[in-house]
Amino acid sequence: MNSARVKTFYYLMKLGREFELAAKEQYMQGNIAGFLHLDIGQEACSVGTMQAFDKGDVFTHYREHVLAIARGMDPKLIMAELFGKVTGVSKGKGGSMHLFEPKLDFYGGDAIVAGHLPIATGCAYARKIEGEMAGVFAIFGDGATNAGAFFESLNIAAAWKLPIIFFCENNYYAIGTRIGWVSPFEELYHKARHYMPSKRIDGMDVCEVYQVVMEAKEHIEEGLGPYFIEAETYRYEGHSMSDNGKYRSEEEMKIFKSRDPIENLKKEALKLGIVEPEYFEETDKKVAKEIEEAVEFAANSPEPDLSELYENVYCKECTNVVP
Amino acid sequence: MLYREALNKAIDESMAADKSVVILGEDVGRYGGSYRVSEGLFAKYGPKRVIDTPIAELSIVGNAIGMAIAGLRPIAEIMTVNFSLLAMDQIVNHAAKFRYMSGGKMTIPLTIRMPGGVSRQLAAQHSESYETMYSAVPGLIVLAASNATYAYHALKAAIFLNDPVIFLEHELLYPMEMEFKEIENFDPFKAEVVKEGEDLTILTYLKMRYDVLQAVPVIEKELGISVEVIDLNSLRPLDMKTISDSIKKTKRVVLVEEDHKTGGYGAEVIARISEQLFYELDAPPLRIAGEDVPIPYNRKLELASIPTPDKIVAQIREWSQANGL
Amino acid sequence: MDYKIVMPVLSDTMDKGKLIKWRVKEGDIVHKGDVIAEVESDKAIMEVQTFKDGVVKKLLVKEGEEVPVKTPIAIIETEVEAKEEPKKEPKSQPKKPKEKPPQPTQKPKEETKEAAPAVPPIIQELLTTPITSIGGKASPAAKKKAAEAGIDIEALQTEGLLPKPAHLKDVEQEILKRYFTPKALQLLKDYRIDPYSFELTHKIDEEEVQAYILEHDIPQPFPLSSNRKAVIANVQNSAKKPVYFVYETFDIRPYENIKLTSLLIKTIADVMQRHPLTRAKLQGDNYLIYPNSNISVAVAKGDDLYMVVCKKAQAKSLEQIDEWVGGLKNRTYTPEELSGSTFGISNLGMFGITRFSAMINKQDCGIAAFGKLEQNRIKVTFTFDHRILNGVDAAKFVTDLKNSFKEQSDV
Repeated sequence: MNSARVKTFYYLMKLGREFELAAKEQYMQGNIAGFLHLDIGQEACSVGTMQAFDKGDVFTHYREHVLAIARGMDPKLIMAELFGKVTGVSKGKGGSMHLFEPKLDFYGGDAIVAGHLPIATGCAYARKIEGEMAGVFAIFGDGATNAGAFFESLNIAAAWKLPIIFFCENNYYAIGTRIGWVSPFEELYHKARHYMPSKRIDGMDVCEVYQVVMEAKEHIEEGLGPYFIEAETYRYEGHSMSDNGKYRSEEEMKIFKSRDPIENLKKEALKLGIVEPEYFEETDKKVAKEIEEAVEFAANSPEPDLSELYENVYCKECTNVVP
Repeated sequence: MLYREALNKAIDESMAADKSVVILGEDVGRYGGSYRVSEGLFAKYGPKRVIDTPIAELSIVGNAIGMAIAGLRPIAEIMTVNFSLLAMDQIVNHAAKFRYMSGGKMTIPLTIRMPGGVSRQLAAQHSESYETMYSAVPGLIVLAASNATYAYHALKAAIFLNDPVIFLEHELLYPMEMEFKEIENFDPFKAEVVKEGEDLTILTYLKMRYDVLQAVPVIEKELGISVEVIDLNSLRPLDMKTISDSIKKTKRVVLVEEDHKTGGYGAEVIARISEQLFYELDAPPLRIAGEDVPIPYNRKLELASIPTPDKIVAQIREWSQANGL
Repeated sequence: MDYKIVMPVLSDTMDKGKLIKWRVKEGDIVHKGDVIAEVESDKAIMEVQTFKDGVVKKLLVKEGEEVPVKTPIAIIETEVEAKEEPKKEPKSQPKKPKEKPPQPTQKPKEETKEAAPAVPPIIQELLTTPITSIGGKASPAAKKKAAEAGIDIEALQTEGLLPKPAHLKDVEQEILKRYFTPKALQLLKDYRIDPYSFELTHKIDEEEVQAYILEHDIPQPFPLSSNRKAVIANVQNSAKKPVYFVYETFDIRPYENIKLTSLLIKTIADVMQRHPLTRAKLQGDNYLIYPNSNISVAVAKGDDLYMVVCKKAQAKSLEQIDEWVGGLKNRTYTPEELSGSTFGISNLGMFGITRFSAMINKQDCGIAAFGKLEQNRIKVTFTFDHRILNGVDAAKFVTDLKNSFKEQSDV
């Protein structure tokens, strides 16, 4: 890993974590409502994948703030969306779970578990017949691997040799249900390995995530068909804000926190001497300021006008005739 | 022209005109479509654009949404509306909502074609009408094609609309020989006044149009009245203008649908009429609809479960007597 | 500065929270992320963290106490900013959470109110008319009409003057009865005048309607009888034919006790036997030449006009024909009697008309129009269809006919 890349990893992961903490605070103060799913602890997956998969289309689940930031979305626009403001990336109509930005080929927070996988698969089909082998990246959690849509998508992607990476963040819990209670095994890459090359990796290590996604990317670009990655990771927070996460043991939490992706990257980089110590201090400050600005931007942005209620239900042509 | 040929013509011409148009579904390609709608297209446009899918409706629609996001104009064929329930999540939670929840950034130009309704003894899992469900979803356009002319023009329009369209067909119509006319500047959202009349408006759509047209001469003769028949064509949006103009004239309305009565599509139409045209009405509106039972296999029971020309006449007769017509 | 920690919003359904346990006490140093309390939401017991470093300055809520969400529960003094601007910051900062809280329960209501479609004009209009005060059982359209005209449906129903439920036509009838005399109503019906063209403020009689008819020059519609419609179709069709006229004057001496029309039929029938084209119909590329002389005769009966056919006239005696003609006025005709001719005659002599021309009947090849018989001379105008008879054919036929009549009169 070169110094510049490590710095970028650190900056984006830190930015992501601070963003999530700020979101949590704002939620508790009543400025953000609805469901808020925090990515704290899983930043290596969000940042490592997006750094490697820098072209192509991204289809994501709803724990996607950090993924969006890593893809290049402005934290201000995300925070404003969380606040439900008109300046938000989805004009305040989507909220935390629905961040869409076609300009970044980022197709957003889908809040139906596994619901985005057939869509990602269809997109991969279209890209393939257009000859665009940069392909598609689909990210989802362990819970999604029990759904029918997941298996349908593996089947079709493999049958038609589609350029798509299936990336599973296995944090072991679907809300409060441990994956092992509802799946015959906890190592989920077994579910895919008869269809396509499948790997289980350390999702707490941003460098490993990055490298394996790079390999997968080469695989799909060469037209060899889909690729499956299972990244073991952990969310420090509950599933959403109303979940205290008490179904997990203190011991388990301690083990994973000792593998914290941000702290470990920093430690390793300092040990290897590839990044100067000042960088981290400066970055932390810069990140704090950026997040503060994002919150300020969101707080000071206007609410959507009531006339927005019926906007964007249909295209312009159809709006004229509906309802 | 056969009804199915009109659909085929619309798809064929759209595919010829625009390379981004593709069709996918069970048996649409090599087999030629289970109702022969896509016949000949595989040979003409090849496997990349005429796509045989596995029996996995969720994926047929889900994949089509992905294709639409990638810039294609997919036509997803679901073998019957009954199977579309497997794809309901994709249709309702994804296709219909992406534009709105992305603040207008997403566009899903998708057409989902599916036949519904009671055919001949296909029993409960192959005979339903679910237009009422789809018509209740903001973000979807719902068109119901009862005839070759509408089918051709509306399907072409649907393919090139930038919103998801549920395009409803009827299994009994496919082999029917129908009049066909090419029309310039066709408006798929407009209801058709099939027959003009003065004393009673009958609203209907899809296959029931033909049952109504069989019943009307009997009603007119028996009651000594003239009946106006309107084919709704577009269920969402609903052409209230045409409906309203007619009811203002006739003061009476009957709606005939094959769907179950409870929560059927007619319930919405009659509710709107009651809200908007209450003071125009000279009699309570009448719904002639399917019975509230799963569709039975036995032919006698099957026919008893849906409106037929005889039943339409009988119910209107009874209603007219009770309501001073 | 002071950093206020509030009772957190921990779910989309949480309105208030119970402070279960304080994990810190006043004066404790806390760091960002430290848990300071446990609170119970509607879903679970959750930990509350501080998002800033500082010293716990004050705990505002007791353990076991329940407070609404967003109520401050603790104040943390953050070191750095406490020194700077001690006055300004505390004022604006704590305000924010209070100002901002959106009220999610109220907003949707506002939205639906504003977005609700405007009341349709028709209903608006009705809301201002006393429709709700109209009792009785009637359809909405009937009530609307009654409201406009000030009809009390309930009272009329009590008296049995309106059916229950009343429909539009019942109320309309009632309105008409109320505002028009029976004779006025009959006039309205005859002239098809909309009763609502009148201001319904008083009882309107026949004279007032008559005056209205004159003032507005309203024509009385006169429905066409089916015979009239048939005649119109017949003559319209006839007018499309390429016809020409032949004018002649015949010498005729009528027989005693025999009607002139009968003599005309008999003589023409006999002459027609010598001129095949007068017995012809044009059909496609053929003339269909009939063996018999079948002559259509114009008969006026009341307002109706019929072309009754005298079949096989050449085979009938003059007396037989005269009997046939005599019976025409007082009977109805079968469809067979109204078809099958090839030549026609029309006679207006009894009205004093000296000369006129006639329209060819249906598929006939021609018609002879006879005027008034004066001094045994009669003016006759022939109309021929040029497609069947050329001028020469016609001339031969007319001359033959003229000579036949002449011979008869000479005898």
